[in-house]
Amino acid sequence: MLEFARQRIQAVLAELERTAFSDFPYKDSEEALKSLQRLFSHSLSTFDGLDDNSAPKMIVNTCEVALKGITDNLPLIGFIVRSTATRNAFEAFGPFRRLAGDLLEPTVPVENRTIKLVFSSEWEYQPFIWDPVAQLKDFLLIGLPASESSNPLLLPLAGHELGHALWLRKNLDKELRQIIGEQVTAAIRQLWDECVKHFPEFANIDPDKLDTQMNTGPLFTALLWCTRQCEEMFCDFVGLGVFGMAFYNAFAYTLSPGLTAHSPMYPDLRTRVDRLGEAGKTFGLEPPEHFAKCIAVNPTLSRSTPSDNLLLKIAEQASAAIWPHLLEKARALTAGVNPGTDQVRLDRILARFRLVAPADNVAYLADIFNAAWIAYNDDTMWKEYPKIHENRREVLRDLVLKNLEIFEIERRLA
Amino acid sequence: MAIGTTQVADMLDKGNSPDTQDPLIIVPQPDLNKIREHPQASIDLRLGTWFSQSRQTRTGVLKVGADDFIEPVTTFVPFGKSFFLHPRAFVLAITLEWICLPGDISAYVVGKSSWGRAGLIIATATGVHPGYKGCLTLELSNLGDMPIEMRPGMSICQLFLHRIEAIGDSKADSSVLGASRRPKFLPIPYDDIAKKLSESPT
Repeated sequence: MLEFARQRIQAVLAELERTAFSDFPYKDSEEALKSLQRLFSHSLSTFDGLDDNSAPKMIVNTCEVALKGITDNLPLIGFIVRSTATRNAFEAFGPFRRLAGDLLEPTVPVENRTIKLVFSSEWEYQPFIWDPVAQLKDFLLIGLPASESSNPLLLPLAGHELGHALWLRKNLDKELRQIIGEQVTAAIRQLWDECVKHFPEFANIDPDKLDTQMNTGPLFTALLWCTRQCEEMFCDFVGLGVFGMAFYNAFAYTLSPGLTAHSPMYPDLRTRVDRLGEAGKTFGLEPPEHFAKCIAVNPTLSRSTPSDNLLLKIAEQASAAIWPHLLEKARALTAGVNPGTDQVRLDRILARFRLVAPADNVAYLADIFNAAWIAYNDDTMWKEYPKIHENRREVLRDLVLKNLEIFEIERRLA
Repeated sequence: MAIGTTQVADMLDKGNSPDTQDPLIIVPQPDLNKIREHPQASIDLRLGTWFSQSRQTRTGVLKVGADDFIEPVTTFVPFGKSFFLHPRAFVLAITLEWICLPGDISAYVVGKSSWGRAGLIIATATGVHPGYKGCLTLELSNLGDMPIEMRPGMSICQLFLHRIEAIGDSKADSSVLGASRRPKFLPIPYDDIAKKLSESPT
């Protein structure tokens, strides 16, 4: 057992050493890999002094910890390795790292910020952010679907993922616990008869003392689902606040016409679309015409039971009462990175795009994406250049990525 | 007629105005004040972050007229890191600057003497047609006997601009080879005349 465990770690370390020779596109992903090398070197050192004569419990424990370290971290190593693939939008790294700092450490001077970012691709069709990883403290690990990871027009979806980091950093679970709890208990009271029917234990609970029972059984599940749904909505609003119209477009591109499988941890897609549509008013945005209709599939819970459906109804009813509060929170936290759409700023960038050239002196990152989506939706774009018009999607992607690089260069030289 | 850099600076300045039709654009824009202080005959361009090399293990021979010309190995080198070009190696690189030439301006990409003396050839297909849009692909080759270190952002070549007699529609598709931020290999054309000549009985 001891030798197997030792060899497994040595194999991981050998793979990490090989991976260290990759062409890293920026130092954050290289640093992430080095952190994991240190972690596994330490893991190997825990075997020092152990042999077959050591206490059996200690051997089992050490081997178990080491095995868990491998199972937990191997997907993470894969993620870091994929961050070096040239399919990724490398030019977006600098601007998004800056954006992450502006959102998460707005009062810290740029040179003192601790936030690090790894942009990678994932062989799953969902943009996502890794849950915080203890061994990679301060790292944001954001993945975009591999098939779209070179498509800069979808990068505004990373705004939603940055929302998760904001939720965690601002400890919003804790801050909103009371209001979420109140709304969940209010929803349960409204649906009391149904609750008693589906959950016999409710018969022994005093409806006026529900708040003392929130950490157990179905109440806890409803609270958890509502909290996660609130987090997702908050993240949608952060994405909208940071990127404006581009977020609407990227959202619709990625998720239309919707998927039938629905996780209770998310509001259903149609609800997200409706709330994002309404949230536009807060940010001075009118959603694109196609946005309201972009979700056409009716979602259903996978493996749902009548009691699951009731808990989901409770969570949704509660979150419906909370979302304006989340919207206000997101607005306040994103105001510093995007002061809102300005047609003059957009027209300036668009004028350059029409000449098939990137714009310089762009003031806000969101403006590049918003101009890009206007160009994307304009079928007449570059009609006067037939060959370019024929490849306009590809040309636009290149133009936007180049514009991101120029945006970053200007800030480095400022 | 070659255009001096003071005039180029004026054209770039003018190109910043949205009202200018068919402007000259170079982004990131060179420092116009510096150009005016030290007028020259050419504008320096910098090395970009993308490189392409042929995948020799998968490319048997460079065939004329084939659509699938070369499957490249593409490398991204961030600012601050180096790309080493070894003796006799050949790589496509790209300028950092995205360029739009007006319909009455053509250009030539030429190496810089400091690089040339180190053995570096910058470009072999040096002509840039009027109306070109995109970053300029550089065909880098090390003719020296020492590996050459290159870093994105370094000044790598110079662009001589020439005014030409009108060639018709300035929006003609001379940009077909450009509109890109990464260097690309292109098929070697084999036109109808060449085909007919090869098919004709002797």
